[in-house]
Amino acid sequence: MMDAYTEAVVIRLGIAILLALGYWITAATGKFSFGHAAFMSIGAYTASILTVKFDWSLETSMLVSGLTAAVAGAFIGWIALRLTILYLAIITFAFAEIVKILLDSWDYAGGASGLFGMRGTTPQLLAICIGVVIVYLFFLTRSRKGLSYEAIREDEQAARACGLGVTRISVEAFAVSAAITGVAGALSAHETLIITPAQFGAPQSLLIILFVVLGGVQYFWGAIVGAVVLTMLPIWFDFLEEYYQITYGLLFVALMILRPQGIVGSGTERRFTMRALARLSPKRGKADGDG
Amino acid sequence: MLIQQLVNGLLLGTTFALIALSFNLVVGALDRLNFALGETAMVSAICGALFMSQLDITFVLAFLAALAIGAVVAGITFLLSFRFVSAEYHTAPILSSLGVGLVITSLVTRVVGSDQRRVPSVLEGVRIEIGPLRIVGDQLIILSVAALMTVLLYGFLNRTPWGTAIRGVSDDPDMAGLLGVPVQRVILLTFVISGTLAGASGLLTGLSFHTVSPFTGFETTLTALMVIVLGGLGNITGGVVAALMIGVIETLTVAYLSATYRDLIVFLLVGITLVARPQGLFTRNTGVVGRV
Amino acid sequence: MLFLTACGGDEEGGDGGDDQSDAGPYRLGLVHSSEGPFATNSATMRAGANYAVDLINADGGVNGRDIELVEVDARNDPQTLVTAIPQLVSEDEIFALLAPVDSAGCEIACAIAAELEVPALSAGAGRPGVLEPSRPWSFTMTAPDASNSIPVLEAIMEQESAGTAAIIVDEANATTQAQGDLYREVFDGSDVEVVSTVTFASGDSSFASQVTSMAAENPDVIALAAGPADAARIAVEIRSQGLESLLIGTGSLQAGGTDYINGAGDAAEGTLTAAQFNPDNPDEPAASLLAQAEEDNDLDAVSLNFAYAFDIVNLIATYLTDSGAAASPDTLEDDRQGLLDFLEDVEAYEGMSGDVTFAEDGTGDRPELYAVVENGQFVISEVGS
Repeated sequence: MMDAYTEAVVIRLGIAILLALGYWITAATGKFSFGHAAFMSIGAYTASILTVKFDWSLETSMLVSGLTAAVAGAFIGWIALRLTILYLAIITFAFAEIVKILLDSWDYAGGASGLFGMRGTTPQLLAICIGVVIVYLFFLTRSRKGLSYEAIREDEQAARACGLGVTRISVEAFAVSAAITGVAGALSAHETLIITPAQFGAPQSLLIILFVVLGGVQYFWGAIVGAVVLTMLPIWFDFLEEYYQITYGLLFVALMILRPQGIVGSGTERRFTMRALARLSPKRGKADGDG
Repeated sequence: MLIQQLVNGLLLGTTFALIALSFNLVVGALDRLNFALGETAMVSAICGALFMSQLDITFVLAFLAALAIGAVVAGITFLLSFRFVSAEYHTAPILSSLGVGLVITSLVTRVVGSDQRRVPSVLEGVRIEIGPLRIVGDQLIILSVAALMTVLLYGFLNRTPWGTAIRGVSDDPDMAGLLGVPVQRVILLTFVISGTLAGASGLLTGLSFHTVSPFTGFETTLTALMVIVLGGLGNITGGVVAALMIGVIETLTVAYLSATYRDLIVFLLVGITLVARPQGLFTRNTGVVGRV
Repeated sequence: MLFLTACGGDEEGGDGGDDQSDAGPYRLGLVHSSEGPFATNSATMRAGANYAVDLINADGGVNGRDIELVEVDARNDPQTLVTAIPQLVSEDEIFALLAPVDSAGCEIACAIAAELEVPALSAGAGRPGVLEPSRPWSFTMTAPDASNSIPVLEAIMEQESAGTAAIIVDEANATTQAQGDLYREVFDGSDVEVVSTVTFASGDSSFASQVTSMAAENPDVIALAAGPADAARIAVEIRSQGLESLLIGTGSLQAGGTDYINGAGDAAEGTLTAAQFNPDNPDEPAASLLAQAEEDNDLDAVSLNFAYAFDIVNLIATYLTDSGAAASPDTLEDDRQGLLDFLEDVEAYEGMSGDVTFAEDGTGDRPELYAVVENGQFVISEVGS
C-alpha cells in the first residue's frame, strides 16, 4: 500500500513517461510538433466529459479520448507534415492555441474555469498503458516501419527519392503519437482533479518536447530517461528554492553545448547509410503498399 | 472612428515591425531563431522604465540604455546558445535560447520583483488633432523612432561595409568566409544589432502599453514568430509589411468583433498562409525556408 | 455560538488545552509561489503567515507547542501541486494547509487537499467558484466579488448620478468575465445605460483600440473588468486619450491595489472601487494589530494578503488552543474534522483584517466598504458615510 505522496509521484512519473513515449513516435520521424498539449487537452476534455457528464468508466473514456486525439492528429498531420521543421512547429503551435481559445469559449465544458470532479487514475492503469505502448514500440523499432521512420528522420529527401511514402508514414506516426498523448491527457485529468484550458498551453507543449530532446531521439527508452529526469528534477533540486528556475534554464544551455543529442544516444546523427536505404527500397511496393 | 482605429493599428504594427526585424536579422545570419529575443526586449524595457522612474533620467537616455542592454543580452545569448552549439542539431539552439529566456525572466523577477513597471509618458499633454484623427505624444514618439530605426537599419545594411558583410553572410556564409569576411564576428554583430532592435521594440511597446511586466517575453516572441512567418522568413521588407498588417487586423478585430477572435484570426491567417504559400506572403525566395 | 478574539500578542498561552510540550510542533503547510504574476502577492501572504507564527511562538506557542510552517514553492506551476500537497500531508503530516493566493493554484491545491481530507484556507483566490471542487474542506478569507461589490457599486452609481457607462472586459479569464456580468447587473439595477462593451485578452500590447471605441460614446462611467495590472494600463490609456469618465472597479481591484496604483500612477486618481479590507481600520483589536505589524515589519501599510494570512494562522491557533487538539498521527483525522466544524461556526472572529465570518460556500463574509484613490492611495470608507 503506497502512501498518498508516493502514489502521486508514481502517477506523475507514469504520465510523463506516456507523454514522452507518445511524442517520441513523431520525433522518430524527425517531425517536431510544438503543440502536443493540444492533443493532451483533446484527450483530457473528451474523457472528462464522458466520465463526469455521462458517467462512463475511465477505461472506456480513455480509449475514446485516444481515438479523438488520433483523428485530430491525422488531420493536422495531413495539413502540416509536408512543411519544414520550423513551419511545422509554428502550425502545430497555432493549432494548440486555437484549441485553447475554442475550449475557453465552450460553455458546456466550463469555459475558462474548466471541469472538475474527475478521479480514478491509478498506478496500475498507467502501468498497463505504458506496458502496451512499450510493447508496440519494441516491435515497431524492429520492424521495416521503424526503419523507415529512421530513414525519414535522417534524410527525408533521400527517403522520398527511394520511394518511401513519406507523407503517409509521417501522418500515421503523428496520429499514433497524438492518440497516446490523448490517453495521457485523459489520465492526467483524472489525477489533477481539475482541468482548465490554461493548463494545456505552450509551457506544457514545451515540457513534452524537452522530455524527448533531453533524453535523446535515437532510442525510445531515451524518452523515458528524459521524462523521469525532468519530472524528478523539481523534487530533487527543491533545495535550490527560488534559484531553481535559473538553474533549470542554465542546465539546458550547458546540455545543448555538451550533449546536443540528449542524454541517451551516440551523437553521430548520420548513422543512417545509403546502404540501409537501399535495403528498404526494392520491396517497398509489397511492404508498404504505396508509392 | 475607423480612421482612428487604422492609425492605432499601424502604430501597434510599428512596434511589431521592430521585433520582427530583430528576429529576421538572426534568421538571415544563421538560419536560426533566437527564442530569447522576447525576453531580451522585456529586460531592456524594464531597465529603461526603471531608469526613467527611479533615476529620473530623460526618455532619450533611457532609450539609449535600453538599446545597449538589448545589445549586450543578445551578444551573451549568441555565445551561450549558438556559438558553441553544434549546428547539426536543429533543436539544440531552440531549446538553449528558450533556456536563456527562462533565466532572464527569473533573474528579472529575482532582482526587481514580479510587479509590472510604469513607463512614464513622454511629451505629456501633446495632442495633435487632424480632423477626426488624434495622435498623442507617446504615439508620435513610437512612430518616429520606429521609422527612424528602420531607415537606419536599411541604410546600414545597404550602404556600409559591415552591412554588406551581414548580407553576404546571410546569402552564403561559406562563400563570404572564402572571400575573407570574418564570419563569426559578423554573426556576433548581427546578434548585437538584433538585440538593439529588440531593446527598442521593448521600450516602445512599453510606452504604448504604459507599463512593462517581466512576463511578456515569451508572448513577444510568439507575436514576432507570427509576423515573420506571414512576411516570409528572413525577408526584411516582408516582415515590416506583415507587422503593419497584423497590427491593423488585430486592432480592427478588437474594435469591431471581440478580443477572442483577434488571436483566432491571426492564427488562422498564419495557418492558411503556411499551407497555401509556405514561402510567406511577400517573398518568392524559398531558399531560406528550406534551410531553417 | 462562538465569539472569539485574536490571539495576537496578549494571549495567555493555552487556557483550554493541556501542556503538550513533548509532542513536537504543530505543522501547517503553506504553498507559495516564487515565480509568475502572483509572486509578489504570494510573498506578502508568506510574510503575514510567518509573522503570525513568530508572534505565537515567541509567546510560548499553543498548548506549550510551537507552530511550524512547512513551506512549498509551487513556482506558478499547478502541476507541482499534484505531488507537493500529498507530500505535505503524508510525509510532513500537516494539520491544515494555507492554500495559494492565486485562484488557479488554490483551486487545485484545495481539491487535492480535500481528497486527502485536509482543511485548506486561502488568503486570496477571489474567483467565483474556486472552492466548489473542494468544499466542504476549503475556505477563503476573501469575499467573492458578487456578494460584496454589487450593493456597494449600486450605491456609488446612485451617489454619482451616472447616466451612461462603458464596460471593458478581459475575455480570456473566468474572474474578469464574472466581473463583467457583475457590472451589467449593477448598471441594470441602477438604471445606467451601457453604451459600449469592449473586450481584450491577455497578450494585448495596446489598449488604444478599445479605448478609442469607448471614447466614441463618451460614457460617464467606465467599468474595469480586468486584473489590476491590465486595469492600470487601461486607466493610463483612457486618460492619455483625454477621456474624463469616472473609473470604477470591483473589490478585487482594491485587493490588488498596489499593482493598480503603481502601474497607473496619476491616471488612477479618483478611481472608485468596492472594498473588503481596510488597512486603516479604526476598530480594535484590528487597529493595534495593524499598527504593531506595520512597526514590526517596517511596512507603510499592511496589505490584504498579509492580514488575511495572519488571521488564518491565528484562527487555526485559536482552534488548537480551545480544543486542546493533539493533532498526533492517530488523532489527526478527528482534529482536522474538528477544525472544519470550528471554521463553519466562526462568528465574528476579530482579527487584523476586521471581523471574519465564512459564508455557506466557504468564502469570507467581509464588510461592504468602498475605496477612492487619493494621492496614490486607496482611502477606504464605509458605504453611506
